[in-house]
Amino acid sequence: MTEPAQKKILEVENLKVRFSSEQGSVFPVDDVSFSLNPGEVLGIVGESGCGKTLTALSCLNLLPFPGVIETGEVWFNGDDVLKLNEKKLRHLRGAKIAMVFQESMTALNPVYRIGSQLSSIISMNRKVSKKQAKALALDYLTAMGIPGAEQRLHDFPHQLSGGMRQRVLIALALACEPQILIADEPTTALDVTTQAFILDKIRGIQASADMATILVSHDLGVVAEFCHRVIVMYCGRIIEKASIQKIFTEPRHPYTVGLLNSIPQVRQKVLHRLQIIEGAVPNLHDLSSGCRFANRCSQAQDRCFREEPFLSGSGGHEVACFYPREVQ
Amino acid sequence: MSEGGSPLIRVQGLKKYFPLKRFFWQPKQFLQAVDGVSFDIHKGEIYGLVGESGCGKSTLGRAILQLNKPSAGRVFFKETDVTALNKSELMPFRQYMQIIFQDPYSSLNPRMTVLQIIREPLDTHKVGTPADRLRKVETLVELVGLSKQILSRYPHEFSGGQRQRIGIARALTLNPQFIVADEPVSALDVSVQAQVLNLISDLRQQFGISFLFIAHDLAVVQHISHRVGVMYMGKIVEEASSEEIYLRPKHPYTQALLAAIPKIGSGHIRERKVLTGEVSSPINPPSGCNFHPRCPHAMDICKRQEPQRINAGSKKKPHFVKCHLK
Amino acid sequence: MGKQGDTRNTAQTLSRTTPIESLWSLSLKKFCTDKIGIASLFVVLVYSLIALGVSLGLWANEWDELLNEQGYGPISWDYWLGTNFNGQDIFQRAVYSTLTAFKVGLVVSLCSLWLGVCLGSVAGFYSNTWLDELIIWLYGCLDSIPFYLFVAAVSFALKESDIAMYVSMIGVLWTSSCKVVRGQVIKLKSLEFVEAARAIGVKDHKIIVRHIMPNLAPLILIEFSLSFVTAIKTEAILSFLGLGVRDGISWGVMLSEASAEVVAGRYHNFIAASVFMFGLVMAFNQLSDALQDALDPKKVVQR
Repeated sequence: MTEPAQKKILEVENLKVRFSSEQGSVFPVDDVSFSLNPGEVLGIVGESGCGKTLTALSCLNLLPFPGVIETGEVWFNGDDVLKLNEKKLRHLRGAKIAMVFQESMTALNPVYRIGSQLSSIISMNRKVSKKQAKALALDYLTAMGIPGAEQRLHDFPHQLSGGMRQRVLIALALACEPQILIADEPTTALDVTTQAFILDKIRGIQASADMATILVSHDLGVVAEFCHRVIVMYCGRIIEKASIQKIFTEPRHPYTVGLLNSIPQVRQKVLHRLQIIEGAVPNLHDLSSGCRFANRCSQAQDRCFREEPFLSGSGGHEVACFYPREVQ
Repeated sequence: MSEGGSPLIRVQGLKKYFPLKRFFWQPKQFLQAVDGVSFDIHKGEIYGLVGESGCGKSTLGRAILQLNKPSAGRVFFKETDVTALNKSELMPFRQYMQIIFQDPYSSLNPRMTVLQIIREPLDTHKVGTPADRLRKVETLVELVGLSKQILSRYPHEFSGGQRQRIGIARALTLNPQFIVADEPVSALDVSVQAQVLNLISDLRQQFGISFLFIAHDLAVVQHISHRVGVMYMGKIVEEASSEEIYLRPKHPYTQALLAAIPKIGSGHIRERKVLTGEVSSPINPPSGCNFHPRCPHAMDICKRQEPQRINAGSKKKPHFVKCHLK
Repeated sequence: MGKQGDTRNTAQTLSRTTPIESLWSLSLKKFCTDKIGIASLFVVLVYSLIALGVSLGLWANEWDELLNEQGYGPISWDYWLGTNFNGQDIFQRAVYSTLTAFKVGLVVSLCSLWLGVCLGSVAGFYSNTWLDELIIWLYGCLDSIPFYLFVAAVSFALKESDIAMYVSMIGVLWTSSCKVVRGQVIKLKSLEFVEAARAIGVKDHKIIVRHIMPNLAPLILIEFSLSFVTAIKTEAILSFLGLGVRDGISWGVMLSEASAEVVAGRYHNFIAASVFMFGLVMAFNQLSDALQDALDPKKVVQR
């Protein structure tokens, strides 16, 4: 997956997002760089407010108000996405890079039937006839495991359950055959069994179409089962970047270690207590000069409060820490 | 945890039906949110209740506390049947039974200070002098891991985790013996969730409080509870100790829930069997076993006859299951 | 237990020097940054001073006197906005009408609000009971009667006195605040802090006073500013039709007089009444917009 010779499909370089408010400016995404290989599934994990969603939205130049991209480049197919005009961006969104959001109720128009919404978007993005579009819509709904897909085409969004709506949305995103799928917490609002089912379906389509995917999630478990490579974010920074095996078997950043230990697991011996990270995520307004994790870190030294560490490392495992956990 | 002796909470055949809006010519219809649930909770025990959204687990928690009156069945607190009490007779029992909510943002009145919020139970039950009450509130906030200086502040100044601690402090003011924790950690971030789980575990150990811990996440429930009940469409389909549920899940639904939990640490993308279909409508539940439309092992009898609750374990280590497979 | 960590964090984000801010003080702060809101509040205050002065007899005492014997008169030093066909001073009449407007606005909005809030919160708190059904039926009925027919009927029944206008306006305007309040109470009632209070054993009336009313107050304030404007505008229309103010003067009455004058090419009356009314209505509308912004907890609190 990580041969250097391979051409990257998406490259994000030094991305910095600014939010201005009455209290001053903050940078919820600060100097973030990563790349995506063709056919790869990249996970972006972190707790709320770490900037993972904004990073994903920046790849489509879709920042919500009052966010602005301060610096950075997003290279896709030889174009810097951040410099494209609205018309070119429209061609890009949906057709080349598709996005699935968490909120499935608001993403579908409540007054149109599922079938007509699907086929109109497909025929817009793929230059096929209305009839072909309808057939494609049906194919993808079936592929997403929607029972009785043919009848479902005539349903309105409110007639479907949350899980079904989310499947329709994913089918919609996939039906345009994008080169990249960006899924922002696609299953967070759903039940566990539905979540497992949907993730399995996405993975099936992803693998067969060799489509690069970015999965944004707060759930390390979902990422563990779904991704090839993981980026861990904290307070707008990437603090660790590694392959899935490395992250879970030999995490190096104290935050990653703490996060992994905080997750309750089903096991035979019930422990009742977890190892935890003390404190809470700091407010972006009062970040100090040192490492952003320093005041919660049990291994913090003087240097961590003075200087900020940058990503470094070899073999595709990078970590932003002065005193990372040693690998045995 | 004292296994012997009479249980602290005994729920017997509890039912909660909600009447549905209908036109007058239509037959009366009910949404069977909780449909005949029985279980016990012992002193100092955490009983975990797990199920997917809409299975009636929150309704069950509120029905036990008499926040909404059950349609049928009885709830005993020690020896008293609380379902038979009227509002004023129920007042003393409100001190013993409390609740922690899911959403830390809507569970605190935004126009009251933290002090007013935590003191309200003491004011309502007229416990001690005003000075006593203040002292009690101060010890409580420190117990849940906050500082005394926050008392004059308003809820909106706190993070989700801190608000949840305030909510826990409010539930603790009257020294309850039993707390219903309704999804207390599902709205929190992973690192904060772990802190709150530890806090609940500590409270049980320190004060011997019993908990009904409701969650949709089997991993969280299995981690914190001594016994686990798995709920599907208003019924508890399996009940056993945490260890048993993990080692020997009997009901196909429990097995599916376990399989659906993403495994961390393997680092390998693995194949698994997943449940197909959707939860059936609770208005017209399927005949026989509620789970049969989704069950991979469904037999003929499952469609016709509802399975009985049987003990598949030993007398000492009961393992109740409602399934024809056993 | 996370004690240390969280205390440390609390101390960090909320040091003892940061002032304690309730939602009210945050709203006030937000309102003070709203230039249009402040300006419109200022305009409203100026109007109320005018009205106060009129009621104390400080100015516009001669609004009813036939000052100019020639009838119509041009703008002059004596008559700032000229005189009407009776020879009455238009400026004094317009100023005096401010008092009428405030009287109508305050009486109608306060009474209809009181009625609406009481019935609305009862209906909301006891939603899905016969009481709720009754109140819904009541405002459903009132809303379905054409408004001007209703006013005409009431004024006929009350022997054409001014009270008819007040009664009919209150009788119709309370329904809108009742609907809004009912909806909000139903929403508040289902929130978990109300459920928590019930779990503690707090009595119903204390839940209403302690948990529901304080969270309803901002809404009531906004409803007040809205119904005040509606009352003033409705009064103008009623007076224009001859169903409103009878033995006094108001902008509506002036407009009604002007309808004959405008044909004759005399615009003084028309313009004076319109401009005075426009200023007050505009200011109140802007004020209620600013209030809505400032009182919305979602906009005030940054999570």
